[in-house]
Amino acid sequence: MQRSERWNLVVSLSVVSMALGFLLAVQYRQHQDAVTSGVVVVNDPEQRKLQYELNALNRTSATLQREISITSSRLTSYENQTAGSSREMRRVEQRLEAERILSGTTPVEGPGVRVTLMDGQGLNTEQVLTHDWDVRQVINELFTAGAEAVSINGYRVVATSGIYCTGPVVRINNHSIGAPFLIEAIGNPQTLSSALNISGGILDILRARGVNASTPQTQTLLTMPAFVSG
Amino acid sequence: MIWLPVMGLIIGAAIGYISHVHIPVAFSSYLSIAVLAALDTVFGGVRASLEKSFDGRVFLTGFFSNILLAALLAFIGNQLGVDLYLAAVVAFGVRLFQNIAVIRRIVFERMSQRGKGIRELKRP
Repeated sequence: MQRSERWNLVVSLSVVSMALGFLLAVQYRQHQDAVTSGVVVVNDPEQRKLQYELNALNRTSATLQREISITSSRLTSYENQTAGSSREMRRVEQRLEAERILSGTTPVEGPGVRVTLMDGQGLNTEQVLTHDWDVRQVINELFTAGAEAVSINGYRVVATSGIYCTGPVVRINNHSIGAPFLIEAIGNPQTLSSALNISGGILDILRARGVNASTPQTQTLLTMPAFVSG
Repeated sequence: MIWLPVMGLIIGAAIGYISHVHIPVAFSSYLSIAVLAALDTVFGGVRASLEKSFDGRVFLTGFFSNILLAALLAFIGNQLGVDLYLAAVVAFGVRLFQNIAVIRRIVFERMSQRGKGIRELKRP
């Protein structure tokens, strides 16, 4: 065999085997990654079909999310355009702002009160535990007293919020939370705290039963997140 | 000089292992086909060199066109919902075994010829 021919052979074999090695290594690493991360290579047609469906749903969801953001940005621009154009408009906008705060779509901050409900100590557990209706009554009291926004342990309470008992925990907006319940309300601090403190009022009733309810503390600045469903 | 291809293999494997090249999951079936095609081509090349019918140009173009063709086949099969990649797997698998069998036979022949003191009897 001639020398150049042999050289030709060796070089092309080397190039090709380098490419082969690269491919092999990439494939190996990827397969190991897939195995360790639990993403098995799907071969079953049924699974693949489900995967396709999931992908399609994810794509649809992404498209809709984009549409939402586009629409809301357009809405904001319209609002900015019409901002303060007339008295009528300003009134509508103020109302919109108030409705937004009530519906909990935006994070809010302001002065308010803070009260903590904790399970008391005692033999009669049924009496000293903080129940879902206790939390509900405190919330209702606060809203009746003119609270603009209320949150429990950082979860915003809005008109559609459910507060109900599931065994040892209370579900609020479908988030499970347990005692102690830190209830915050934004509104006129004096009105809110006197509504809670009124003798024979809700806190007195709870304390009489043995629930450990703190005195409402007036706060100059409370911040609350937007409503998040669980 | 015969170690150069082995070195190439090791270097390529090292590059592939260290570098963070990531092929999306959707293309992983193409990658496996490509690996098979590459394996087939390399063994084909070894066989051709043993048979003294090696042509560098044919070999190199064969390597890349085989890989691309196999991936294309898998792609078309994916679009049509027919498992066409199985055709590539079977074809490459059969050829791989055939090539290895031929290589084995040639090596045995050489060994026995060397034992008889005759060298390179089979020159094209």
